[in-house]
Amino acid sequence: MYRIKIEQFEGPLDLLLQLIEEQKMDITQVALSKVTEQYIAILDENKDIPPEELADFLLVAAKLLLIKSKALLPYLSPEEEDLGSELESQLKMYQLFYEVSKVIHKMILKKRFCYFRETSHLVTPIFVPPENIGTQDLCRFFNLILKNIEPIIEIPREALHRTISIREKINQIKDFILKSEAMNFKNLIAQAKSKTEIIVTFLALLELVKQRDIAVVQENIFSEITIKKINQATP
Amino acid sequence: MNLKTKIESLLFVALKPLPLAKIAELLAAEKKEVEAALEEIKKDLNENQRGIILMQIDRKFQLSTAPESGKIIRDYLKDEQTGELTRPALETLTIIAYRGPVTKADLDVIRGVNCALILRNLMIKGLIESYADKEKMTHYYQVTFDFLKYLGLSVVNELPDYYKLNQDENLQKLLHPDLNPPAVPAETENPPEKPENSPNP
Repeated sequence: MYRIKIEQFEGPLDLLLQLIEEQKMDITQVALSKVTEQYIAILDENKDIPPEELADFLLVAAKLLLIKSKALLPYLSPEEEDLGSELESQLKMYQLFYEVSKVIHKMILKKRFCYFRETSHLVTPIFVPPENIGTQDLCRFFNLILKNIEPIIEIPREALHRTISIREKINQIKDFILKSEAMNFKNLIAQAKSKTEIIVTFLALLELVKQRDIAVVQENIFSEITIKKINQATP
Repeated sequence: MNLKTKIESLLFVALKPLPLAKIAELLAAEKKEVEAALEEIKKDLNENQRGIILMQIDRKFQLSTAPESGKIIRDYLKDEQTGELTRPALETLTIIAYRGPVTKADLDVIRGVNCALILRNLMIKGLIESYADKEKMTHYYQVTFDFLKYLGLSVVNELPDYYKLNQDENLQKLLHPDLNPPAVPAETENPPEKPENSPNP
Protein backbone atom coordinates (compact mmCIF):
# COMPACT_ATOMS: atom_id res chain seq x y z
CA MET A 1 0.00 0.00 0.00
CA TYR A 2 1.38 3.36 -0.95
CA ARG A 3 1.32 6.30 1.33
CA ILE A 4 -0.48 9.54 0.75
CA LYS A 5 0.52 12.60 2.64
CA ILE A 6 -2.45 14.03 4.43
CA GLU A 7 -1.41 16.80 6.71
CA GLN A 8 -4.52 18.13 8.28
CA PHE A 9 -8.14 17.22 8.18
CA GLU A 10 -11.29 18.52 9.81
CA GLY A 11 -13.57 15.62 10.50
CA PRO A 12 -14.06 12.26 8.79
CA LEU A 13 -15.66 13.57 5.60
CA ASP A 14 -12.84 16.01 5.03
CA LEU A 15 -10.29 13.22 5.40
CA LEU A 16 -12.25 11.00 3.02
CA LEU A 17 -12.58 13.78 0.47
CA GLN A 18 -8.86 14.51 0.58
CA LEU A 19 -8.05 10.84 0.03
CA ILE A 20 -10.31 10.62 -3.00
CA GLU A 21 -9.16 13.93 -4.47
CA GLU A 22 -5.55 12.89 -4.00
CA GLN A 23 -6.16 10.01 -6.38
CA LYS A 24 -8.07 12.24 -8.79
CA MET A 25 -11.15 10.08 -8.54
CA ASP A 26 -14.77 11.12 -8.57
CA ILE A 27 -16.88 10.36 -5.57
CA THR A 28 -18.32 6.91 -6.26
CA GLN A 29 -18.75 3.79 -4.22
CA VAL A 30 -15.83 2.27 -6.10
CA ALA A 31 -13.62 5.17 -5.10
CA LEU A 32 -14.82 4.89 -1.53
CA SER A 33 -13.97 1.21 -1.32
CA LYS A 34 -10.52 1.96 -2.78
CA VAL A 35 -9.57 4.45 -0.07
CA THR A 36 -10.96 2.39 2.80
CA GLU A 37 -7.61 0.96 3.85
CA GLN A 38 -5.89 4.32 3.76
CA TYR A 39 -8.67 5.90 5.76
CA ILE A 40 -8.36 3.27 8.45
CA ALA A 41 -4.55 3.46 8.42
CA ILE A 42 -4.65 7.21 8.93
CA LEU A 43 -7.16 6.80 11.72
CA ASP A 44 -4.77 4.34 13.31
CA GLU A 45 -1.82 6.74 13.09
CA ASN A 46 -3.62 9.79 14.41
CA LYS A 47 -3.92 9.16 18.09
CA ASP A 48 -4.72 12.79 18.72
CA ILE A 49 -8.19 12.80 17.19
CA PRO A 50 -10.32 14.39 19.89
CA PRO A 51 -12.38 11.72 21.67
CA GLU A 52 -15.63 13.57 21.03
CA GLU A 53 -15.03 13.26 17.28
CA LEU A 54 -13.74 9.70 17.32
CA ALA A 55 -17.22 8.19 17.14
CA ASP A 56 -17.93 10.16 13.97
CA PHE A 57 -14.69 8.92 12.41
CA LEU A 58 -15.49 5.34 13.36
CA LEU A 59 -19.00 5.58 11.95
CA VAL A 60 -17.57 6.52 8.58
CA ALA A 61 -14.97 3.73 8.87
CA ALA A 62 -17.77 1.22 9.49
CA LYS A 63 -19.67 2.44 6.44
CA LEU A 64 -16.53 2.21 4.34
CA LEU A 65 -15.91 -1.37 5.44
CA LEU A 66 -19.45 -2.27 4.54
CA ILE A 67 -19.04 -0.79 1.05
CA LYS A 68 -15.73 -2.59 0.66
CA SER A 69 -17.15 -5.92 1.77
CA LYS A 70 -20.02 -5.53 -0.65
CA ALA A 71 -17.57 -4.86 -3.46
CA LEU A 72 -15.63 -7.99 -2.57
CA LEU A 73 -18.65 -10.20 -2.04
CA PRO A 74 -21.33 -8.79 -4.32
CA TYR A 75 -23.57 -11.86 -3.99
CA LEU A 76 -23.86 -11.22 -0.27
CA SER A 77 -26.02 -8.16 -0.60
CA PRO A 78 -27.97 -7.56 2.55
CA GLU A 79 -30.91 -5.22 2.93
CA GLU A 80 -28.80 -2.20 3.83
CA GLU A 81 -28.59 -1.32 0.18
CA ASP A 82 -28.69 2.36 0.97
CA LEU A 83 -25.71 2.72 3.27
CA GLY A 84 -23.16 2.95 0.47
CA SER A 85 -25.03 5.46 -1.58
CA GLU A 86 -25.86 7.38 1.56
CA LEU A 87 -22.19 7.89 2.34
CA GLU A 88 -21.57 8.72 -1.29
CA SER A 89 -24.19 11.46 -1.39
CA GLN A 90 -23.18 12.68 2.05
CA LEU A 91 -19.62 13.12 0.82
CA LYS A 92 -20.76 14.82 -2.39
CA MET A 93 -22.79 17.21 -0.34
CA TYR A 94 -19.86 17.92 1.91
CA GLN A 95 -17.67 18.58 -1.12
CA LEU A 96 -20.22 21.01 -2.50
CA PHE A 97 -20.34 23.04 0.69
CA TYR A 98 -16.62 22.81 1.20
CA GLU A 99 -16.09 24.38 -2.21
CA VAL A 100 -18.48 27.27 -1.56
CA SER A 101 -17.02 27.81 1.89
CA LYS A 102 -13.80 28.71 0.08
CA VAL A 103 -15.73 31.22 -2.01
CA ILE A 104 -17.23 32.71 1.12
CA HIS A 105 -13.82 32.88 2.72
CA LYS A 106 -12.53 34.87 -0.25
CA MET A 107 -15.50 37.20 0.01
CA ILE A 108 -14.76 37.86 3.66
CA LEU A 109 -11.08 38.44 3.01
CA LYS A 110 -11.97 41.20 0.56
CA LYS A 111 -13.15 43.06 3.66
CA ARG A 112 -16.03 44.67 1.89
CA PHE A 113 -17.60 45.02 5.33
CA CYS A 114 -20.81 46.95 5.84
CA TYR A 115 -21.40 49.01 8.96
CA PHE A 116 -24.52 49.67 10.96
CA ARG A 117 -25.23 52.73 12.97
CA GLU A 118 -24.21 51.96 16.49
CA THR A 119 -24.62 54.03 19.60
CA SER A 120 -20.98 53.72 20.48
CA HIS A 121 -19.71 55.72 17.55
CA LEU A 122 -22.40 58.24 16.91
CA VAL A 123 -24.20 59.29 20.05
CA THR A 124 -22.50 61.36 22.73
CA PRO A 125 -24.33 61.30 26.02
CA ILE A 126 -25.73 64.68 27.05
CA PHE A 127 -27.58 65.32 30.30
CA VAL A 128 -30.66 67.41 29.77
CA PRO A 129 -32.81 67.62 32.89
CA PRO A 130 -36.56 67.88 32.32
CA GLU A 131 -37.89 71.42 32.59
CA ASN A 132 -40.19 70.90 35.55
CA ILE A 133 -37.46 69.61 37.84
CA GLY A 134 -35.93 71.84 40.52
CA THR A 135 -33.42 71.40 43.28
CA GLN A 136 -36.22 70.78 45.79
CA ASP A 137 -37.42 67.82 43.72
CA LEU A 138 -33.98 66.31 43.58
CA CYS A 139 -33.68 66.64 47.34
CA ARG A 140 -37.04 64.97 47.82
CA PHE A 141 -36.16 62.12 45.45
CA PHE A 142 -32.90 61.52 47.20
CA ASN A 143 -34.63 61.32 50.55
CA LEU A 144 -37.05 58.81 49.07
CA ILE A 145 -34.17 56.73 47.82
CA LEU A 146 -32.52 56.85 51.23
CA LYS A 147 -35.72 55.64 52.80
CA ASN A 148 -35.95 52.81 50.33
CA ILE A 149 -32.49 51.51 51.10
CA GLU A 150 -33.06 51.59 54.85
CA PRO A 151 -34.42 48.03 55.07
CA ILE A 152 -31.48 46.79 53.01
CA ILE A 153 -29.04 48.37 55.42
CA GLU A 154 -30.95 47.14 58.47
CA ILE A 155 -30.83 43.43 57.65
CA PRO A 156 -27.09 42.88 57.83
CA ARG A 157 -26.92 44.79 61.11
CA GLU A 158 -29.25 42.25 62.70
CA ALA A 159 -27.22 39.31 61.39
CA LEU A 160 -24.01 40.90 62.56
CA HIS A 161 -25.37 41.35 66.05
CA ARG A 162 -26.17 37.67 66.39
CA THR A 163 -22.79 36.40 65.33
CA ILE A 164 -21.11 38.67 67.81
CA SER A 165 -23.29 37.45 70.59
CA ILE A 166 -22.23 33.82 70.01
CA ARG A 167 -18.65 34.86 70.45
CA GLU A 168 -19.61 36.96 73.44
CA LYS A 169 -21.41 34.01 74.94
CA ILE A 170 -18.34 31.83 74.58
CA ASN A 171 -16.26 34.39 76.43
CA GLN A 172 -18.94 34.77 79.03
CA ILE A 173 -19.04 31.02 79.72
CA LYS A 174 -15.26 30.92 79.86
CA ASP A 175 -15.32 33.69 82.43
CA PHE A 176 -17.88 31.86 84.53
CA ILE A 177 -15.90 28.65 84.35
CA LEU A 178 -12.71 30.43 85.35
CA LYS A 179 -14.31 31.69 88.50
CA SER A 180 -15.97 28.43 89.55
CA GLU A 181 -14.77 24.95 88.71
CA ALA A 182 -18.22 23.68 87.83
CA MET A 183 -21.59 25.20 87.12
CA ASN A 184 -25.08 24.33 85.89
CA PHE A 185 -26.56 25.07 82.54
CA LYS A 186 -29.60 26.44 84.31
CA ASN A 187 -27.51 29.13 85.94
CA LEU A 188 -26.02 29.98 82.64
CA ILE A 189 -29.34 30.74 81.04
CA ALA A 190 -30.90 32.35 84.06
CA GLN A 191 -30.31 35.85 82.73
CA ALA A 192 -31.26 35.00 79.16
CA LYS A 193 -33.64 37.58 77.77
CA SER A 194 -34.94 35.62 74.80
CA LYS A 195 -35.20 32.19 73.25
CA THR A 196 -32.53 33.18 70.77
CA GLU A 197 -30.17 33.88 73.60
CA ILE A 198 -30.79 30.44 75.09
CA ILE A 199 -30.08 28.85 71.75
CA VAL A 200 -26.96 30.94 71.35
CA THR A 201 -25.83 29.92 74.80
CA PHE A 202 -26.31 26.28 73.94
CA LEU A 203 -24.43 26.71 70.66
CA ALA A 204 -21.60 28.44 72.49
CA LEU A 205 -21.53 25.55 74.91
CA LEU A 206 -21.27 23.03 72.09
CA GLU A 207 -18.50 25.05 70.52
CA LEU A 208 -16.55 25.05 73.78
CA VAL A 209 -16.99 21.30 74.11
CA LYS A 210 -15.68 20.92 70.60
CA GLN A 211 -12.69 23.09 71.44
CA ARG A 212 -12.12 20.92 74.51
CA ASP A 213 -12.25 23.84 76.88
CA ILE A 214 -15.06 22.35 78.92
CA ALA A 215 -16.74 19.05 79.61
CA VAL A 216 -20.46 18.56 80.16
CA VAL A 217 -22.16 15.88 82.21
CA GLN A 218 -25.83 15.02 82.23
CA GLU A 219 -27.09 12.24 84.51
CA ASN A 220 -30.47 11.64 82.88
CA ILE A 221 -32.47 12.96 79.98
CA PHE A 222 -33.75 16.48 80.78
CA SER A 223 -31.84 16.56 84.03
CA GLU A 224 -29.39 19.28 84.91
CA ILE A 225 -26.31 19.70 82.71
CA THR A 226 -23.17 20.23 84.70
CA ILE A 227 -20.38 22.13 83.06
CA LYS A 228 -16.80 21.57 84.11
CA LYS A 229 -13.56 23.11 83.14
CA ILE A 230 -11.00 20.80 81.56
CA ASN A 231 -7.69 21.47 83.23
CA GLN A 232 -5.15 22.10 80.59
CA ALA A 233 -1.94 20.24 81.21
CA THR A 234 0.35 22.90 82.54
CA PRO A 235 3.95 22.67 81.52
CA MET B 1 -45.33 62.81 3.82
CA ASN B 2 -45.53 59.46 2.11
CA LEU B 3 -44.94 56.07 3.61
CA LYS B 4 -41.59 55.53 1.93
CA THR B 5 -40.16 58.72 3.47
CA LYS B 6 -41.32 57.75 6.95
CA ILE B 7 -39.95 54.23 6.69
CA GLU B 8 -36.60 55.45 5.46
CA SER B 9 -36.31 57.86 8.39
CA LEU B 10 -37.28 55.15 10.84
CA LEU B 11 -34.68 52.79 9.47
CA PHE B 12 -32.09 55.54 9.66
CA VAL B 13 -32.45 56.08 13.40
CA ALA B 14 -33.07 52.45 14.29
CA LEU B 15 -30.02 50.93 15.94
CA LYS B 16 -31.14 47.36 15.40
CA PRO B 17 -33.01 45.41 12.72
CA LEU B 18 -36.63 46.49 12.43
CA PRO B 19 -39.26 43.83 11.84
CA LEU B 20 -41.84 44.55 9.17
CA ALA B 21 -44.64 44.19 11.72
CA LYS B 22 -43.05 46.78 13.97
CA ILE B 23 -42.76 49.31 11.16
CA ALA B 24 -46.37 48.74 10.16
CA GLU B 25 -47.44 49.17 13.78
CA LEU B 26 -45.47 52.38 14.28
CA LEU B 27 -46.82 53.94 11.10
CA ALA B 28 -50.33 52.52 11.51
CA ALA B 29 -50.12 51.14 7.99
CA GLU B 30 -50.94 47.86 6.32
CA LYS B 31 -48.10 45.35 6.24
CA LYS B 32 -48.61 44.97 2.50
CA GLU B 33 -48.13 48.70 1.88
CA VAL B 34 -45.06 48.76 4.09
CA GLU B 35 -43.62 45.77 2.30
CA ALA B 36 -44.09 47.43 -1.08
CA ALA B 37 -42.52 50.65 0.17
CA LEU B 38 -39.56 48.73 1.60
CA GLU B 39 -39.11 47.02 -1.74
CA GLU B 40 -38.91 50.45 -3.42
CA ILE B 41 -36.43 51.74 -0.86
CA LYS B 42 -34.32 48.64 -1.36
CA LYS B 43 -34.26 49.23 -5.11
CA ASP B 44 -33.44 52.93 -4.70
CA LEU B 45 -30.56 52.25 -2.40
CA ASN B 46 -29.11 48.95 -3.54
CA GLU B 47 -29.19 49.50 -7.26
CA ASN B 48 -28.04 53.10 -7.59
CA GLN B 49 -24.54 53.01 -6.14
CA ARG B 50 -25.63 54.78 -3.02
CA GLY B 51 -23.53 54.91 0.13
CA ILE B 52 -26.21 53.13 2.10
CA ILE B 53 -27.88 49.80 1.43
CA LEU B 54 -30.93 48.10 2.88
CA MET B 55 -30.29 44.65 4.34
CA GLN B 56 -32.96 42.05 4.85
CA ILE B 57 -33.22 38.75 6.72
CA ASP B 58 -36.66 37.16 6.67
CA ARG B 59 -38.90 40.12 7.40
CA LYS B 60 -36.44 42.24 9.30
CA PHE B 61 -34.69 45.24 7.82
CA GLN B 62 -31.65 47.33 8.61
CA LEU B 63 -29.69 50.07 6.90
CA SER B 64 -25.95 49.78 6.58
CA THR B 65 -23.10 51.38 4.73
CA ALA B 66 -22.39 50.05 1.24
CA PRO B 67 -19.75 47.33 0.93
CA GLU B 68 -17.84 49.54 -1.51
CA SER B 69 -17.12 51.96 1.34
CA GLY B 70 -15.82 49.18 3.57
CA LYS B 71 -12.25 50.38 3.70
CA ILE B 72 -13.05 54.05 4.33
CA ILE B 73 -15.43 53.26 7.16
CA ARG B 74 -13.04 50.73 8.61
CA ASP B 75 -10.32 53.36 8.71
CA TYR B 76 -12.66 55.98 10.12
CA LEU B 77 -13.86 53.69 12.90
CA LYS B 78 -10.37 52.28 13.40
CA ASP B 79 -11.95 48.86 13.09
CA GLU B 80 -9.35 46.13 13.15
CA GLN B 81 -11.60 43.15 12.56
CA THR B 82 -10.32 40.81 9.89
CA GLY B 83 -13.23 38.38 9.68
CA GLU B 84 -10.76 35.52 10.12
CA LEU B 85 -12.53 32.22 10.80
CA THR B 86 -11.30 28.66 11.34
CA ARG B 87 -12.10 26.19 8.61
CA PRO B 88 -14.72 24.20 10.55
CA ALA B 89 -16.40 27.46 11.51
CA LEU B 90 -16.33 28.64 7.92
CA GLU B 91 -17.82 25.37 6.66
CA THR B 92 -20.57 25.39 9.22
CA LEU B 93 -21.33 29.02 8.53
CA THR B 94 -21.50 28.31 4.80
CA ILE B 95 -24.04 25.54 5.28
CA ILE B 96 -26.16 27.72 7.53
CA ALA B 97 -25.98 30.58 5.03
CA TYR B 98 -27.12 28.46 2.10
CA ARG B 99 -29.49 26.14 3.91
CA GLY B 100 -30.70 28.24 6.82
CA PRO B 101 -32.85 27.90 8.76
CA VAL B 102 -31.25 24.53 9.40
CA THR B 103 -31.20 22.13 12.36
CA LYS B 104 -28.10 20.93 14.14
CA ALA B 105 -28.91 17.37 13.10
CA ASP B 106 -28.76 18.37 9.42
CA LEU B 107 -25.50 20.22 9.97
CA ASP B 108 -24.02 17.15 11.63
CA VAL B 109 -25.02 14.98 8.65
CA ILE B 110 -23.57 17.35 6.07
CA ARG B 111 -20.30 17.84 7.90
CA GLY B 112 -20.05 14.32 9.30
CA VAL B 113 -19.09 15.58 12.73
CA ASN B 114 -20.83 16.99 15.73
CA CYS B 115 -21.02 20.76 15.30
CA ALA B 116 -22.18 21.75 18.80
CA LEU B 117 -19.02 23.59 19.80
CA ILE B 118 -18.68 25.41 16.49
CA LEU B 119 -22.30 26.51 16.65
CA ARG B 120 -21.68 27.95 20.07
CA ASN B 121 -18.65 29.86 18.90
CA LEU B 122 -20.47 31.22 15.87
CA MET B 123 -23.30 32.37 18.12
CA ILE B 124 -20.85 34.09 20.45
CA LYS B 125 -19.38 35.86 17.43
CA GLY B 126 -22.92 36.96 16.53
CA LEU B 127 -22.73 35.44 13.06
CA ILE B 128 -25.64 33.07 13.57
CA GLU B 129 -28.68 32.90 15.81
CA SER B 130 -31.07 30.15 16.77
CA TYR B 131 -34.77 30.04 17.37
CA ALA B 132 -36.96 27.25 18.66
CA ASP B 133 -39.73 25.65 16.68
CA LYS B 134 -41.97 24.56 19.53
CA GLU B 135 -44.14 22.34 17.36
CA LYS B 136 -41.21 20.34 16.02
CA MET B 137 -39.29 20.61 19.29
CA THR B 138 -36.07 21.58 17.54
CA HIS B 139 -33.83 24.56 17.18
CA TYR B 140 -33.11 26.14 13.84
CA TYR B 141 -30.01 28.13 13.03
CA GLN B 142 -29.73 31.00 10.60
CA VAL B 143 -27.27 33.74 9.78
CA THR B 144 -27.55 37.23 11.25
CA PHE B 145 -27.19 40.78 9.98
CA ASP B 146 -23.61 40.66 11.25
CA PHE B 147 -22.97 37.83 8.82
CA LEU B 148 -24.30 39.94 5.92
CA LYS B 149 -22.15 42.78 7.16
CA TYR B 150 -18.94 40.76 6.84
CA LEU B 151 -19.87 39.40 3.44
CA GLY B 152 -20.98 42.75 2.06
CA LEU B 153 -24.38 41.37 1.09
CA SER B 154 -27.80 42.92 1.43
CA VAL B 155 -29.66 39.58 1.42
CA VAL B 156 -28.39 36.06 1.82
CA ASN B 157 -29.63 34.96 -1.61
CA GLU B 158 -27.01 37.18 -3.23
CA LEU B 159 -24.49 34.46 -2.41
CA PRO B 160 -23.07 32.74 -5.50
CA ASP B 161 -25.22 29.81 -6.69
CA TYR B 162 -27.60 30.40 -3.81
CA TYR B 163 -30.73 28.88 -5.33
CA LYS B 164 -28.89 25.93 -6.80
CA LEU B 165 -27.33 25.03 -3.46
CA ASN B 166 -30.32 25.94 -1.38
CA GLN B 167 -32.62 23.57 -3.21
CA ASP B 168 -30.13 20.92 -4.21
CA GLU B 169 -31.98 17.68 -4.90
CA ASN B 170 -29.39 15.37 -3.38
CA LEU B 171 -29.34 17.49 -0.30
CA GLN B 172 -33.09 17.23 -0.03
CA LYS B 173 -32.83 13.45 -0.37
CA LEU B 174 -29.95 13.14 2.04
CA LEU B 175 -31.67 15.14 4.72
CA HIS B 176 -35.24 14.31 5.59
CA PRO B 177 -36.99 13.89 2.28
CA ASP B 178 -40.44 14.08 3.84
CA LEU B 179 -39.78 17.27 5.75
CA ASN B 180 -41.12 20.57 4.54
CA PRO B 181 -38.89 23.59 4.94
CA PRO B 182 -39.36 25.16 8.35
CA ALA B 183 -41.74 28.01 8.82
CA VAL B 184 -40.47 31.56 9.05
CA PRO B 185 -39.74 32.27 12.71
CA ALA B 186 -42.41 34.10 14.59
CA GLU B 187 -41.42 37.68 15.21
CA THR B 188 -40.41 37.84 18.81
CA GLU B 189 -40.25 41.60 18.97
CA ASN B 190 -43.26 41.89 21.27
CA PRO B 191 -43.34 38.98 23.67
CA PRO B 192 -46.72 38.40 25.27
CA GLU B 193 -46.94 40.66 28.26
CA LYS B 194 -46.93 39.16 31.68
CA PRO B 195 -50.11 39.70 33.64
CA GLU B 196 -49.84 42.39 36.27
CA ASN B 197 -49.04 41.14 39.73
CA SER B 198 -52.45 40.33 41.02
CA PRO B 199 -53.12 40.99 44.69
CA ASN B 200 -52.95 37.95 46.89
CA PRO B 201 -56.25 36.14 47.22
